[in-house]
Amino acid sequence: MEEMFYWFWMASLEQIPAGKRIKIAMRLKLRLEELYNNISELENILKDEGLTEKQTASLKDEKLKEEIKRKYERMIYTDIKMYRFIDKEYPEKLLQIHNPPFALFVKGNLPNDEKKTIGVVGSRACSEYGKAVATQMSYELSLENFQIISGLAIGIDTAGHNGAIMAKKPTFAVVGNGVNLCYPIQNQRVYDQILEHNGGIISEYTIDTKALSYHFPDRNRIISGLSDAILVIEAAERGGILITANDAVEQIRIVMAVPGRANDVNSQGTNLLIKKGAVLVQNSADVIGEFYNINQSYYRLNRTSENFMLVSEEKIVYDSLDLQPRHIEEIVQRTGLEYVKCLEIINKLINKNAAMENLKNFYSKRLGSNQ
Amino acid sequence: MRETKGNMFGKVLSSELVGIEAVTVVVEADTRSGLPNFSMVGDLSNKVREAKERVMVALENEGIVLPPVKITINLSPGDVRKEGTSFDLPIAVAVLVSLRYIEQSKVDNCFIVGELSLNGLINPVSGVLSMVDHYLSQGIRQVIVPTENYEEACIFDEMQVLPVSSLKEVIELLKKSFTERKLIADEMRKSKCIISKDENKNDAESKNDFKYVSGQKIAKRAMEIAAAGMHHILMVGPPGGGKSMLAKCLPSIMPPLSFEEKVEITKIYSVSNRLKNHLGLMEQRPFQAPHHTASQIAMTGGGSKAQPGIISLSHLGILFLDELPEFKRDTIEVLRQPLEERVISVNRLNKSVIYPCSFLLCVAMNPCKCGFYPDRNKCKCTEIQVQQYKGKISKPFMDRIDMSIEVFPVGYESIYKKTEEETSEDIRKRVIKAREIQNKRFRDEKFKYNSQIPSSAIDKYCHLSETQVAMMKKEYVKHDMSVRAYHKVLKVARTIADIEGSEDIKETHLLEAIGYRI
Repeated sequence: MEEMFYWFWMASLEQIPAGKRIKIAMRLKLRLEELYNNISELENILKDEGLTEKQTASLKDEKLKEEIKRKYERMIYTDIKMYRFIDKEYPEKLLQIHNPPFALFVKGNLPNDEKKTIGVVGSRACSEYGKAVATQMSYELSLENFQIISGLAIGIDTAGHNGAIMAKKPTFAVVGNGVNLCYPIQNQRVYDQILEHNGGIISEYTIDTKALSYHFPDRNRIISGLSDAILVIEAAERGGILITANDAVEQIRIVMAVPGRANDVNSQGTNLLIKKGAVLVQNSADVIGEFYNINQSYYRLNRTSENFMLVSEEKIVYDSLDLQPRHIEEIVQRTGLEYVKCLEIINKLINKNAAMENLKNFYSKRLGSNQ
Repeated sequence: MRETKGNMFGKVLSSELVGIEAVTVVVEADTRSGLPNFSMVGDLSNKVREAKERVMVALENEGIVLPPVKITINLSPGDVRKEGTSFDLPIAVAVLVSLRYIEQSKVDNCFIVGELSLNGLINPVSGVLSMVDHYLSQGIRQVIVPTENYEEACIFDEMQVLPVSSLKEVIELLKKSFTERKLIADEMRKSKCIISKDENKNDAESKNDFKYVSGQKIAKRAMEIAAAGMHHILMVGPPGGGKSMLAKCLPSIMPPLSFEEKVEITKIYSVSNRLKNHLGLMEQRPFQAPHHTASQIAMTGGGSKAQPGIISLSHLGILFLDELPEFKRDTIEVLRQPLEERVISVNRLNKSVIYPCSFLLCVAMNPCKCGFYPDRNKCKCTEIQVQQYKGKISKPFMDRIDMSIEVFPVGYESIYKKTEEETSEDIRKRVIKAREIQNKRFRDEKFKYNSQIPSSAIDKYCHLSETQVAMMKKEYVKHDMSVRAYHKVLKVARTIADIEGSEDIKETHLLEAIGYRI
């Protein structure tokens, strides 16, 4: 059996924490074959590392070994690559965190180490506004050669990936399941598009592993680990996002947060982060400025901002719009215009790139639109 | 062959319902000497068979003692299943005729329906209107009905209706000649009709009127369009938005019913025995709002008597399904075919009946389980849950709905604004105008409304200019429409143009129609 298989076997043993697996591998001088074949001779090392009986048993489990072998044989016929922590392709950044994954499975590519990477994270039950911000910022950052990394979850994650896809740039998804599976299933299209644009699906779990709830906190440490900064777009006061932000701080990553309205549920988390010292960012220029210290106003002027001219009634309608989507009925009420007239003008605004339809009959100002 | 002596024969016209139409049933009675017996034949259900006991007791209670003879009753034609209790009275009369209490010639030009009670009083029956309609076409001009069914039987002016409340009255009447009875009927109609005509008018009309709905401009506009082009409509919105209120007002802006339509509706209600409170002709468009626990059978019709279901009871009116996702999937899916065909055929063991069910479908639902999406401060549903909630309604069913609007609770300002709201009557005028345009346009076609334009005729009736085609191409891509969705937008735009009185579809009409897409 080739050497890689023994690594695959070790990588499959989820019961043993990644850190312990790495330590054991180091003590064995990377000769995992010995552990696989003569485990009884090495039991004192295992005891030394403080493995529980259950964990030791999983190392001995012959049935499990058979299963993993079949899985391995299946994997080598796919395009999924395995990077061990000792490989040179294994991201440098991950080795710096206190609990690096034992191995990474990758479908597609790993992020380019030379480029700046932004982890876009946020609530799954996000607002349309949050989605729009995530898409817009990811889009602009991608165009500026930043890499967007996120978790392929619904909500902000998907919006982040979509922004990068719109810019036709690689984007990377770290998932809590086997990389050959798409979870959640309705994101299959995003999954395909990530691969189409030379991005990658990354996971520390072997193929066919199901997405289990306890995988996700571990997944989040990889997202922040792979990033130079994490960008929190919308987050509730309690939940996984703030834990991820804490991880990021521990990993010495920059934490950035987009502020929200004071009493929105989804801005409690982000505003709290800002209160605690996260970098307040309002647009992609702020993010870029954090890295390159460019004169921001200069940068903003040079961006291809879509300027537009509005005539009187258009201005009334434009002013009645908000960044949070509003229903047409509300716009009609605010402007006092006829319903049909209102529709006509909004359509003009959309054509001028000044407004957008977030949901059916819900309109908002287009982000970054300057009058 | 030996000539039988002493046998006597009586024959009375009556009627049986098949669906909402009636067929002739001749009740024959034969009495002859022999072992005393009372037997009934002619494909009878148990309910009809029980008539024997009621007839015998009722006759004796009227003081008519049946002689010890062999009585045979036949309900012809023998191959139509007889149900219901309307045969009691004709059987009793036929027996009396055969016993020479009443002359045969007196009952020849008259048909009789009614249920007997043991003391000789007469109870109402269902489906009288259909029977009257049937016999008028057969040239019969006189009918004896239970008093409770009088109003209903009077709907057609040509019929001479004789209401009766006891067996005694029937016997009295049948001793009179045909012309004498005609005079009685005419007299009675004169005195009764005056009262009943205006009693019926101001029923539900006053309560549900769009003038009592404050704000909701767009929703009202959408309702107007739906009524004008008979577009099935979906309302989505949080609880308390006024969806039910809007739906209830929908009948008030539909064009008034024609006499033929009223008769058709009344027939359905009469057959299903729901006319008691209305008595005469139904003046109002039906509005049916079944609870979401309704079963498939309740919806389509059926049961042992193959009764009309809710969809037939909403014929020419509105079927309103509130909380659509809460309905059982079967109950909703079963509507798909009737929505296309506008008739439903109910098949039972011994019957197959076709009921009409051409209705305007109006459905309401919340956008998600909690009802507040996309207001993220109130809605905690995940996107998957929102999708799942929507997914409870199948795509094929959604495809049959033409328009969709969002309905939100109105702000305080619109409750207290002093502006006068438009009345239903004003809206109705525009609807009628739009209907007239459609009638004129589609006079040579098989369909009547814009919503029914088949895809082959879309180009003919919803013609777009070149600039409009360019615009729609953009919208088609932007909203990821299907061909069916695109056609629906065009049809709705056609209706909007009709309401505005515009010959051609304009850009604004298209824009508005896009706003109503599903």
